[in-house]
Amino acid sequence: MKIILAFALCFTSTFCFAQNDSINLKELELPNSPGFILLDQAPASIERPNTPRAFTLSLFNSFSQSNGIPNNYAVEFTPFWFLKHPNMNALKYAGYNDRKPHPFSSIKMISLSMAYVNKTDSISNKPINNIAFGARTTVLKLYSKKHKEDIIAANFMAVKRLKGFDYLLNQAGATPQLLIEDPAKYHELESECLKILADSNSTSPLAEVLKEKPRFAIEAATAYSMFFTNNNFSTNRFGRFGAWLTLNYSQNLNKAATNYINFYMVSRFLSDGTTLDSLNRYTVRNSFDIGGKLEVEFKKLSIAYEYIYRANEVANTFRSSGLLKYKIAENIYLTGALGKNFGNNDNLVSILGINWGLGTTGNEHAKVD
Amino acid sequence: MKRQYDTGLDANSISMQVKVGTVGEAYTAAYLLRSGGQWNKITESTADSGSIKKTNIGFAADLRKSYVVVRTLIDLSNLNEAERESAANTIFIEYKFSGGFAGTQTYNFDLDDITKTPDNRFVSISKPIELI
Repeated sequence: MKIILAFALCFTSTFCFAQNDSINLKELELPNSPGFILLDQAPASIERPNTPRAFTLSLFNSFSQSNGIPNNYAVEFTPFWFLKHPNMNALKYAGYNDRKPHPFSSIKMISLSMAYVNKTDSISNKPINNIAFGARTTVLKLYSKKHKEDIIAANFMAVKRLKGFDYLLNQAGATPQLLIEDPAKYHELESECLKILADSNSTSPLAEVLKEKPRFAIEAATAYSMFFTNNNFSTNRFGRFGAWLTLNYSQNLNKAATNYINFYMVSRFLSDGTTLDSLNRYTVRNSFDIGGKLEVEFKKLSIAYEYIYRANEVANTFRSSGLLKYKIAENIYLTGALGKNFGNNDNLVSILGINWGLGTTGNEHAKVD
Repeated sequence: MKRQYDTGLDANSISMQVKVGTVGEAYTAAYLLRSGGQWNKITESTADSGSIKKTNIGFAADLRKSYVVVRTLIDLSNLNEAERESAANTIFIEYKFSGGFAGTQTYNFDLDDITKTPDNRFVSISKPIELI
């Protein structure tokens, strides 16, 4: 049924109506990869390596395919996953240090993004090289007192489960004695037992508790881009700078942690140095957005209202709109919006379509309007 | 891969310690395997982490020609697929023995000590250390 619905919506999305094409539903959300959205042209493909080896391999592939410096390369990675952490444990990873909440623990999960895109200027026909860097992290996360009790209890259950599995390994014959006498047989037995455990589809008791949203969170992102013309380093110019800050407050409405009332306070600063003035000189235009969003989330459906005030050098304006989102499947959303956009003309927001949620897309740019 | 620890004089009091660093839930058990083939659990980790604090495991005279087998079980099923791969590749385990002729010796696990499921949800690392 879900597949049929997704297919039908895919088809109808071709005919979705959008009176104002400049509106992107994700425009004011904290970008996942801030380094990418400052560029006018989306990278052809984005590498997301999880290990140093995969990172090296992706760089090597890009260089070998381009016979030198690649024309188009984008990478996003979380350094945390590249390193060993001798003092790490499951509770610390979940934000509890010695069983005490550690609100700043998510900073370690900072993700970095870098993009390098070459294009040809349509007017001068000269090559333009864009390079952008970005970072994003959760600065602060606060959970309810109950969350701490739940997570400690779930961790206890998870470790108890592993202890039980250790006992079962011995019962199955994967004993310390077998490891010494016949290591190959020991690992074979161990592998069979692990496979049975994996096939049982049992997940850690921690997984359910970790699904709960933090009561309060602060997320931040920043990005900087620069560009060069005519393959000449001395032509390097400031491109764009962006900074995003989001404060989330989430009130859980049910035990299963599927229904929430969320309040977001969003702010965004953008500085754009890529526009030309009447004398054909590059000028810098700044823009500052601040606003809030109230969202009610019932399992797969969320209804929200947002108000964003924008201050820039041209005029101060606001956006006021209602938003609707329905999760069709993992990473596939039906999204709709209706309201007033920034500016006084052509300012109707009226969008209905599919959001694939697959990360950066071609129209996800942070241009100053 | 088997490692050896020289216990030295009969009266030496031998201690061991295991330090485990992983984002997953972990449980570690240390077994003593006597030369006759009998084995028993000598110490284990607590619910807080997969690590075992410094523990006295006996005198050299009693331990010589025995094995200590340390088995660490790690559950990474609360992570997504990409995170699991990284987490499985960045597991840290340090086995530290002290009190014997060899002084303080630190061992790491080797590739042939690991068994994991293809989806990296569960990992088992078994390290044998021969006490000579």
